[in-house]
Amino acid sequence: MKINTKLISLLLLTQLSLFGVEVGDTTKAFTLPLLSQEKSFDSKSVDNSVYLLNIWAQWCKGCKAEMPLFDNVAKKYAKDGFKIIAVNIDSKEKKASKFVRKLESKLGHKSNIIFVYDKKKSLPKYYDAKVIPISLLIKNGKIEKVFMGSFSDEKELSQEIERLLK
Amino acid sequence: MIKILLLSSLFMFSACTHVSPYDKEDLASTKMLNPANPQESAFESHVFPIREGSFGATSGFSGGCGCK
Repeated sequence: MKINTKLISLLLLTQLSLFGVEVGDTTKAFTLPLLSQEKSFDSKSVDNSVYLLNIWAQWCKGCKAEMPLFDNVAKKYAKDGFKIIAVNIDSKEKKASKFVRKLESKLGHKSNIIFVYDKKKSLPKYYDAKVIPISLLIKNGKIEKVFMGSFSDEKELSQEIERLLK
Repeated sequence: MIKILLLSSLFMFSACTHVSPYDKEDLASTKMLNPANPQESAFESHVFPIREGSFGATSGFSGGCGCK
């Protein structure tokens, strides 16, 4: 049987999406409710600044492990207008809220991270997140760096933030 | 041509489907592990990364110090 390899390759490529979000991509504007609050967060408020958009879930151990690190980094660069927005994608908001309460009691203060809730998973779908957690470092509405997986230390993140804040 | 279409339909109408990482909430549940002996399984998942000096790619998560 003579097989048209080009056609089959094309068909396979349509089945597999290999590439997710990349550096240089533009961000999606969003308005999402703040976790366990009635207020909502509008991405317009950070349009002209440097911020980290982190997508996380309560069922993901790596996501939870990096939260104290994020809190520390958000506090460190708050004076420069830097913010960390953690987008939760759990099916039940209660689970995520419970984790945040636990985190804040462990930290001993209110978290410096902005927690928002994305029930419809619109952001991971838009960015075609290939892993959870995924963190996007954004400046002026453009993705400057994509971090896949969780951070073990803040060195790399701090370096990138400082580069963008200059 | 018909053969090619039949072959491609194997990929298109496959029963297997890709689950996006952000849709793995139910799959990540500990209920999905369903071990034959939960206690033994918990012990093994604790000991294995320490014994082998590595961790990851399982539900195990620690710093490798054996103190989790």
